[in-house]
Amino acid sequence: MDGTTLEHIFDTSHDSLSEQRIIELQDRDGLTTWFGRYFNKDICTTGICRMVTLWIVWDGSGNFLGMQFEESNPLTKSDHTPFKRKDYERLYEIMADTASILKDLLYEDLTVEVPKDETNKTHFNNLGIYEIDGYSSATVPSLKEYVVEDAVFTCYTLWHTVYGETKQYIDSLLQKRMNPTYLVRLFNGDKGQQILALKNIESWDKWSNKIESQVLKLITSSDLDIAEKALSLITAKYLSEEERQLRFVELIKHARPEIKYEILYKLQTATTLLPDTLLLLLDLFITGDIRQGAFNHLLKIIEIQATANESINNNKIIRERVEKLASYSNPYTSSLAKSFTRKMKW
Amino acid sequence: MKKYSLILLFALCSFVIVAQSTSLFVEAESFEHKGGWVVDQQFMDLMGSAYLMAHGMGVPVADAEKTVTFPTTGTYEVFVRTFNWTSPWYEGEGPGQFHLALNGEKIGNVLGSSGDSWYWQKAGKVNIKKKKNKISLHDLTGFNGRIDAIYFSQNGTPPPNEPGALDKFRIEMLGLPKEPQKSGEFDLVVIGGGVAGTTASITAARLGLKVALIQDRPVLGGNNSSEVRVHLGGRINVDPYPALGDVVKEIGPSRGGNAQPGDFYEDEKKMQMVQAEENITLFTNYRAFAVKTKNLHITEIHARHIETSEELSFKAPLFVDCTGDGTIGYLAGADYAMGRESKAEYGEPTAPEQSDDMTMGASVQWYSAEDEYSTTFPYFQYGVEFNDKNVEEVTMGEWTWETGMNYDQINEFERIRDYGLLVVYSNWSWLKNSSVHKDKYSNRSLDWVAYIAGKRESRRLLGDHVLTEQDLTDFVLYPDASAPTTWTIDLHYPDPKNTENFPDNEFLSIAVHKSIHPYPIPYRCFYSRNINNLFMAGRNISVTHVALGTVRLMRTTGMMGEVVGMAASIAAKYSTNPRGVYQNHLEELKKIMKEGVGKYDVEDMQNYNLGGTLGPKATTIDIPAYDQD
Repeated sequence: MDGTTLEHIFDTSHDSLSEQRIIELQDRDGLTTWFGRYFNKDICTTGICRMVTLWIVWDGSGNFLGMQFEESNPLTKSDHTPFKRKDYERLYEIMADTASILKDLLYEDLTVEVPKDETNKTHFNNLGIYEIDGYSSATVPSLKEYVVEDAVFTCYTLWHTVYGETKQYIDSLLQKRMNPTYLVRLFNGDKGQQILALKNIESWDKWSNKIESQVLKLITSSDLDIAEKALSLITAKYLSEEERQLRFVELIKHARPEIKYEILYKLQTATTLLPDTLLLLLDLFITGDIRQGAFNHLLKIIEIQATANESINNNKIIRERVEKLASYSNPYTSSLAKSFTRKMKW
Repeated sequence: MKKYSLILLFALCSFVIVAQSTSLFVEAESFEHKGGWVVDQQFMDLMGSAYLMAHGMGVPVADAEKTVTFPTTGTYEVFVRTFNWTSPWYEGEGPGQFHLALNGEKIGNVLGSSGDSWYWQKAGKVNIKKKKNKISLHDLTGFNGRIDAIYFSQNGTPPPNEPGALDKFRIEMLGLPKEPQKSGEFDLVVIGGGVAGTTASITAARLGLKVALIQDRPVLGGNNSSEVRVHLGGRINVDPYPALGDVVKEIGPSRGGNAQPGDFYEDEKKMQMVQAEENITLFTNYRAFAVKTKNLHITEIHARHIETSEELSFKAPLFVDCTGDGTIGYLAGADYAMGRESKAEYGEPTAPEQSDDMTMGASVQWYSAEDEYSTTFPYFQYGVEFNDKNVEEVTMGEWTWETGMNYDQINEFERIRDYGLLVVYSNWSWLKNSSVHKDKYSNRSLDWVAYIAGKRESRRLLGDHVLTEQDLTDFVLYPDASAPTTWTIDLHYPDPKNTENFPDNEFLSIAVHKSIHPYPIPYRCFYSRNINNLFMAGRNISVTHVALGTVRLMRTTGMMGEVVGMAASIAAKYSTNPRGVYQNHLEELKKIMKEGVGKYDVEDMQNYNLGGTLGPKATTIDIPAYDQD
């Protein structure tokens, strides 16, 4: 392993069966490569428990990275058959899902007893959709898509281990390191580290020029998650300054299609947009940087501003630009523009 | 017998002639100023006409007003057609209460809180001193009081209540033409302006057909409009015909989410895409109610304006039923199915042992908003009791708020929709007024509650092929493979916990999914097997209940519309019928499906709610050749 290995003693852990330490590997720049912990977990299915040993590894941002099981002690299902490769693959998908349905469920929500009531045709037993698992009561059908077949308790226990106290400890370790210098280092890291930086950045009014330019640059990232996260930091108040508005709208030229739309939605929430900003938007439509699918959103921005602000409503140049679009040869554009000018009574 | 018929006819005509000179009939939906009242046309086929409803979510709505001219001065008895919508669940007075007023003065009784079905409630008496007067509807509660029509009569007799007789009475009293007006010359008439109908119309128009698109609401999109707020689902632009979905891409909203703010559904985009097509004549606010046929062909359909009652007739060689309920097919005598087929019928593993009437339900979605200050909500309990154990502690309700699975989604749809409203209000009332956690909700108010219910399933018109579960799971390819369905087989059932708390009156559902490979639906599922010039697209195509689980998603129905539009252009070109396209021009249909009819340069924003899938079955899909023999 290249880099520096650190050991963090986790003596406040409630999991006394597992190792009380978390291993961390850092690269030469002091950024974390991974965190890991060795676990001994009891996995119980309706009264029967089995010990499982494994490493769980998180990446440098505290996100689930992987698991390693002992070959001599593989995972098994409720019928005691060992997991196959596809089961492990599915398990890892479930573990990587931070919003898994397993998050908000209690242990007792995982299965359902199936009493008989033949008189009630909508009783779930009579709808023919529940199958009894071989060695337990039925897995709730709406969960089946979200767990490895016949391994609901395993999935549940491991998911809560991945997202439990160890992850919270890792998150708090990372939190303590957050300062402007570390943030800039994170911006130059991998995707997870960039997102971590964006999550821990202060509000826009405390940004240095360096941080601001990094955030705006990330809005045009080719990675949608990063671009969305960066964009979420732009507030209506940030946009109250003209220079910022124009710089922000210019991002449309280089942004992914989904982000172009998000920029337009964000502009719909701005309190006051200046005429030059609206004209720039119309220019971007004419040049094709904003395409026809977003034209209605662009007009919505103008409608909001014109309704709130008499001077925008009466702005001759804006009106002329829109009215010109009403005579475009493109029938959708002209139809929408005509309908808009009628609505605005221009 | 003939003599008695003549006497009866004379009596009815005499009654009507006398009635016209001493009475005034006003359709509520014709009020020119509707205030906060909404027009509800969903149940026109059941109770006779559209009506006005005070959908205030517990806050009385603004008055509706109309200026009317009485035939003569004098004293009139006043009757109002209404009923108490909570009567199926509650014996006492209902919450949908309102007054009628004349020139600002209240007339008689509180209306709308009694009657277990639509009836003529006596409102009171008025003394008319001048012919021109203003009548107004004054809502008292904001809880969906409803009014179909008002009748002022000097002889004290209410109009007939039975639908057939009332229909004739309306026509006479309003002086409407006995025959519908002609609407124009068309190559294709599409009935239903949801996603399927919109794409069918646009596609056919782009391929040169003159199209009439009839929609019974003021906006297009159906379940994907701001009135119902269900987002699109499924995938477009997939093999074997990646150009299918280009029109869906043009009209589809760019953001996903159910029960979101109305803007999300971009009604204006669908409307303008249609209006940008010169070949489409759009008829919004018209509901089809009658069909004429000859030799198993539809010759014309009649539609009525939901506010003015004006009737139009539409003639064309070809028709597309995109009503969702298979209304046109049903009226024409097309074969159809409804409910769940048994296992034995098609051999489907997921089908029940016995067939039954169960369908997937309808959703009345809703959400609340946070205010800066504390707000109140009236105490609301009308037969459905909530408590801290069974209440849903939520601030919004989307697709899982689903009801009516064991009721008739056509003939009992008003009851189903009303139950959806009842449970939303009752649950919210408990949260705001009685819950141990009511403090959590003290600053929240209901911000939007649908009154147009989102239906998932009703009639399925039957075609030359009925798509089954095995077609999908065994990936059985047919020569007429066309628009692909990509969603899971997604079937809904009452939520077991909800059944425990509200047996036989469930309002929450669960979904059970079975993943499939994207599967191209046979074109033969898109036309009627016994009405020769009728296409269908949408949730009313030729599928079993189980197979409906996957095809009903709106990007998929949108692609069905594209295929039907293409097939209609071929049928028109060769003066043939839908079956004729399959039998003699399948290669031409395939060619157009390969090319698509996309027109505008739009980004592909259709990447939300794509659904689970097993992924493509193979790198290339080999569609078998059609063997005419």
